[in-house]
Amino acid sequence: MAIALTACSGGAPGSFDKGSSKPRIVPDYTDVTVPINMAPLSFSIQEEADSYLTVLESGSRSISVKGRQVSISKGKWNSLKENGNIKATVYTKKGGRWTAMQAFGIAFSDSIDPYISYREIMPSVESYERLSLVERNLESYRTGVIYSNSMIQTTDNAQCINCHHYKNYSTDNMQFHARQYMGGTIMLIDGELRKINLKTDSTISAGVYPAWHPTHDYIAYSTNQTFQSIHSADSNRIEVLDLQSDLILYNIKDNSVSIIENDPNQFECFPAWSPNGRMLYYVSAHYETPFDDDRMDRIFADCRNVRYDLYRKPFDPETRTWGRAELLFNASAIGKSVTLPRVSPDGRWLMFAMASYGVFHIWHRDADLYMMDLLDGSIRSLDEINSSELESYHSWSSNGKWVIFSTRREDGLYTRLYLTHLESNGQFSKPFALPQKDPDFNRNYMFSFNIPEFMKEPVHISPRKLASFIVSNQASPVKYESKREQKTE
Amino acid sequence: MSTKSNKSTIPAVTGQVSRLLPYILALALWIFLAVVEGPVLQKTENLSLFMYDLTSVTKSLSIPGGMLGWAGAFLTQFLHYPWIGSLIWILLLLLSAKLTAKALQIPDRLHALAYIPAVSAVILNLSLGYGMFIMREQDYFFSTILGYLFALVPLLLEKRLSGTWQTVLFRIIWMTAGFILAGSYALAGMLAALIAGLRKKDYASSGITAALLVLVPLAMYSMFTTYRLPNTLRLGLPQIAVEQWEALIDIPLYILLAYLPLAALVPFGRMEAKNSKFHGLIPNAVCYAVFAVAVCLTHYGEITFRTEIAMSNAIDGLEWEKALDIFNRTSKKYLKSDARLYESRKQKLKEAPNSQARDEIIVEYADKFYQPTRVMVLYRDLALIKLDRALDQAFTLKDGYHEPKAITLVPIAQQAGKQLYLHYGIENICYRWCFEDIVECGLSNNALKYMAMQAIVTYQWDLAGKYLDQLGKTLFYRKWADSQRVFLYNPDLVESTAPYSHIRKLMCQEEHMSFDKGLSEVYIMHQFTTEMPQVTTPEYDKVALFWTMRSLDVPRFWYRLARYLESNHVKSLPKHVQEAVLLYNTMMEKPSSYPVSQQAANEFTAFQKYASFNAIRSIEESRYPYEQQFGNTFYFFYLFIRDIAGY
Repeated sequence: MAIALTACSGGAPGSFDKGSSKPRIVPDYTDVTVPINMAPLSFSIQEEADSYLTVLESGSRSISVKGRQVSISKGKWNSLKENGNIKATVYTKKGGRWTAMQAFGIAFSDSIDPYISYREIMPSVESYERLSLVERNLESYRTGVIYSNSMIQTTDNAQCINCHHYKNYSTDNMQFHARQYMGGTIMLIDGELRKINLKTDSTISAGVYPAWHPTHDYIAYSTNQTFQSIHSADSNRIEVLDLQSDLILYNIKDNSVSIIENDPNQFECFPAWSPNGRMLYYVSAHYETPFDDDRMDRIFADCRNVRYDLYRKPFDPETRTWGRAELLFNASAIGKSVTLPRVSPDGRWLMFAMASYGVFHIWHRDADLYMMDLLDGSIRSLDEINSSELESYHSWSSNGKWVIFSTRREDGLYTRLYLTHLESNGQFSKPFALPQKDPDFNRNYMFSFNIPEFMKEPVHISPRKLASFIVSNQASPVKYESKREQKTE
Repeated sequence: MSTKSNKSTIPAVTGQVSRLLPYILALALWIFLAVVEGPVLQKTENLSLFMYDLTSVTKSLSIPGGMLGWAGAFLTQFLHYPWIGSLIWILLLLLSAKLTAKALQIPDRLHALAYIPAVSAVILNLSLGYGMFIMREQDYFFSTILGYLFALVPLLLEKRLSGTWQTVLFRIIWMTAGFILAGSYALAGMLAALIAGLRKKDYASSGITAALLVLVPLAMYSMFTTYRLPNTLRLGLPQIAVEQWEALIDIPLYILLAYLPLAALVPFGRMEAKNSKFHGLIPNAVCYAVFAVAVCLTHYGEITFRTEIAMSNAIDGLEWEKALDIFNRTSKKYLKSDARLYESRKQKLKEAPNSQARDEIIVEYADKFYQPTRVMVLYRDLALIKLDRALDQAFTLKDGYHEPKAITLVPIAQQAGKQLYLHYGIENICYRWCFEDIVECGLSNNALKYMAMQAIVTYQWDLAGKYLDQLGKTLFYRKWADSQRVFLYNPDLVESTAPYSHIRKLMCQEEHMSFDKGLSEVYIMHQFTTEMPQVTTPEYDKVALFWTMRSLDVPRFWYRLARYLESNHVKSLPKHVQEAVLLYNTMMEKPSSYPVSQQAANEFTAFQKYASFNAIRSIEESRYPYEQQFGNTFYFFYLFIRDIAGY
């Protein structure tokens, strides 16, 4: 039963009934923990009512916002957070009576890297005419294009861009791939631009998924022969598979590549360094089928039996020598497939995505995030942040306190970015959508965001400079350094 | 006295006639657009999108000239009612000529010259044909003339400015804002103003303007990240997704863009004093005649194209009978001309001196007989399937392969894939073509509608809601979007309500990897002929039997027929199935015992008898006479129709 109460603080209605539930808001920011330096959370109230009033309180400070959409300026947000956590009460008015819904909290915690970058792409099958690498200031809503394929491509010469990546969260050393037209791997090495072709006669493709060594001038890449097809009936819609994949190491100083792993019956992929750079984590699927014209058809037909396990391989960056690969998690034995291992900056946790098969979990509805405790090897499903839809690409913030991950939880198709805080007990806080100025942004926006990566700073090179560099430079070849010469174990 | 009066009235009357001519032509154009081109205009609107929200405004500002597209899309929505949309467009064309004449001081006796930009815009829009499916953004119909009107602004406004510095200030402001709003049109307008200034010997402002023309685009280029430098001169202009098609739109566009700067070179103002007895009737009439001929010659007038579009619109509205009716009306139009052609060919064949000459005549005439396009046939078959009449009527109707006249063939998947795949229950490929479409050509009412339907029929409620929300922001699709919301979170309703119920019943494919490679007809045939799902519905078995008959695959026909009879409890076999049974029995050592009617048996006997006296020398030669006798049978189809779209 509703009880009539009298408001006692800033802007609340004079009298109101007390509701029994918390308001439904989009994005769901009820009881979330957010970075102290994050942009204000705007949300839209989903309750049906004639009028709306939201009162945000923090210590002695109180701000009231009228209307269904609650957007607060950065100044007011900062004044609230100076007083501590926020308590938000939504009042709805129906038939002349106000009701105070149950209050919810917004807690502030560790700071987060001020920038992220991601790729904006439509969830299309073949066409990719509108692709951009975008950076976003997390302290505001400001976004900027790092590079867009529309700056170069012509009517009949499209360009795909992917796999942006940074060394230790710093944009002085970054890379991304431009494929097809004017293609090459674009690298910024201590501020100097390079365009290279990582494909050699001895490797199966140019570099694909990168992992920049944290202390030395190396980048580990997977090399992949990737194809895609469409499911005739499955709700996963699209399948992307490798017909072959290996791992290579690019030596930036020598401009040379060498093989890390190239077993023809193993599909090695997604390299990721430990924070000290002495261990390379990756995934690999064991799959044997002849290298003939029907290989692709067979692999696609049998795609549900292509499953990736988690491996690691010791590395000595001084001598550039590798140890023996160690199977860390035999996911295939339990009918699962692991991708995208990423180690936390403190080296304690290894987060990965896992689904029932395959390598491209962004199209696998059953993909969830899991985490391995590298201290004892225990693995748990991150139920507190997973949803009924897929979760995939994830990145640790540089202080290891936050994780940003991509998920299709909102509508099952468009990939959206969510953040979560790692608590001291190893649990994650309730995930929340990347704040946007317009609370309905995710609902209205027709592009997906993928490959979210944290950055300590914005990219300093202008998009036009990048474009001009790409246009005016041919991709320079790299040397191939045979595996035999470096293997010293 | 009377002679004097006559003398003075002649110029007055001819002057009026001369001035009336463009309005008469405009009226004719309006009627033509609304009556003949109506379906094409509706499709143009369907392929565009204007949403009443702030996001589309801000998005339009992400590229110079984008605002023009926004305004173009706003007006394009009125083509939903072709009478209204085309009237607005024609009024804009007339306004452009009026303002051109004023801005350039074109004398009355040459006023037809003021219509050159309007005519270019007409040619651009009416010559596109299948190009409409590959336009990058679907606002071109109005944005071209809007852009031109924008380009006129400096010439019109600067007459009211006094002094060089006022002019310079205006040009700086206008050039900066104008380039962002209208892209290349702003450059063209400013170039015209510069040339006009030079003619007035206003060197100071002309020099500054010249600098602005170079510096503003360069400055903008460094600010925007949405285009390449060589495209600076194309900003705000319509673009097409296939290189070979570019010339089609470039020629009228460049005429339109170059018109103002070139016309600014001509001292029209000084020509005013000269008088003419006929008030320019003759030169103007000649000009208008040239314009009319140019429009007629460049107009894409393929009747099969318009039929496809009209059928497509009917299918969008789920008006299956209407789609069939449109197909049949076009076929009927050619009955007489085909008969005449046949007689003429017969005559020539009689006179042919030898067999080689006969063969040449056959080849010469082969393409002259009417045949529908594959899209028409695909639409027609879909309509018959939805009306549950395919097995009785599909092979009674005209079939064939008329290749569309186009610079390059636009894949059927791109043109009709969304509709065909959705209604055949091939949902993941429908999804594919919705997205290929929006990536290539931008978001449209059409794509959003099919994406919403595809999401509803696959029970992706949140996704469907997202698309319906977008359509809810439009003027003419809001109602439809609201009508679809009842299906959200209501699978029972989806299962029991058209069009979704039938689509659901066709979704029997077993899971495997599959790719249409852009070949829609081949793929649909493959899906229903070679795929053998274990669990099917009566509706699926019916469609599978139909497509197996289309494929002419005899062994699979018997399999599909057995499945069909197992799930569909029919009292007698449908007409075409009986015909197929009769025909295929003749190929079997041990004929089947499926029951056929006496009438069907008699007709087949008549066919066999006819065939025994009329040997088929070649498909081209015998097709017409056989069609006259047996064109409503499956066995005619079996013998003479081997067409399948390879694009």
